[in-house]
Amino acid sequence: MTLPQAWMRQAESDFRTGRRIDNDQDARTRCQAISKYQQCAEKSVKAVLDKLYAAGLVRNSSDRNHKVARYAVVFSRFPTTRDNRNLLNQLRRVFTDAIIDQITLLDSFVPEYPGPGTPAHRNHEYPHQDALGRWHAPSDSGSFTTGEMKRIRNCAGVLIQSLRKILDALDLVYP
Amino acid sequence: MVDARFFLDDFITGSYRRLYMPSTVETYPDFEEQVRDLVQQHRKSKKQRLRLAVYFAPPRRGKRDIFLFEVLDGFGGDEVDSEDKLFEFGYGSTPALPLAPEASLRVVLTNPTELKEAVRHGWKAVEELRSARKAGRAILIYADTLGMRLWELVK
Repeated sequence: MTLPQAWMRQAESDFRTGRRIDNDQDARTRCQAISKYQQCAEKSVKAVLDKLYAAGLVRNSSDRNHKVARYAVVFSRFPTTRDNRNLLNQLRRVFTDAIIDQITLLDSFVPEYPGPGTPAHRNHEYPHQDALGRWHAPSDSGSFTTGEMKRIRNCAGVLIQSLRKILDALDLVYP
Repeated sequence: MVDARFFLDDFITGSYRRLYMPSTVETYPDFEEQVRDLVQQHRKSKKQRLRLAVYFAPPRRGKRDIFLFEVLDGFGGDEVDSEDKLFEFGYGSTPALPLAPEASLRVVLTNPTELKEAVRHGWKAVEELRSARKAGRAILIYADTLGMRLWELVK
């Protein structure tokens, strides 16, 4: 198996796991589901990026950073032809403004240690603080909203379906 | 939804025209028209609104590479890079922008907040842009009102 295919397979596993633990009736499951959807988004984007790199279509491969909205912007800015069927045009169209917004939202939930004197930001893994400095657990029912969950589910679903096909097509052309 | 079957013929029959040039040939400012077309495409994004776009040729970088500097709202979640580096990404030859072998389109992307910080602290990428501007090797492709103010910062 190639590295991009391994990234994608794991992204699919993350997505399936996210779906399993995502219970709309129980807001306490949201942080766990977001964690898996975030990993799904990260790995599926890195899968395509690393394949494009191997194919010589881009000059950068993925890095250790978990945030991938930067790469989504890169995909959305590919020079385009007028041909709708061109693979790079297809890739570009996956990364609409809405999807980039949703990936940026997922990026913002990646856990990070706060800098000195700064409050712990909201994330899906560790305790975080609100504007008044009060602590919350990510599994608190009010940590993530219904609207955020809707956007996140959509994002992971679109990415896993579209990018799997694009990766397979790239593999056929650039074995 | 995308369908893998439709991608193949274009990649097989679509021509990846390449412009073969000796390695010492400098391309700036030959790609201005193509860069203008590309920036026009990038202006279509409504949420990640483009503020500033500059085609430039930094000193001591690949002479055949095409450098495009863009400032857009919301890029990277409007965050400032913790390692004091602007995000730079390279594209290879594509059907829409054929390049010589080994040549790249190098796009430097930032947001207004990060650019102000980068200017204040003299980040390397800003110094490269500033050097190019001073040497008369930077073409302003697009700027709105905010973009013009940001461009003035890079003097």
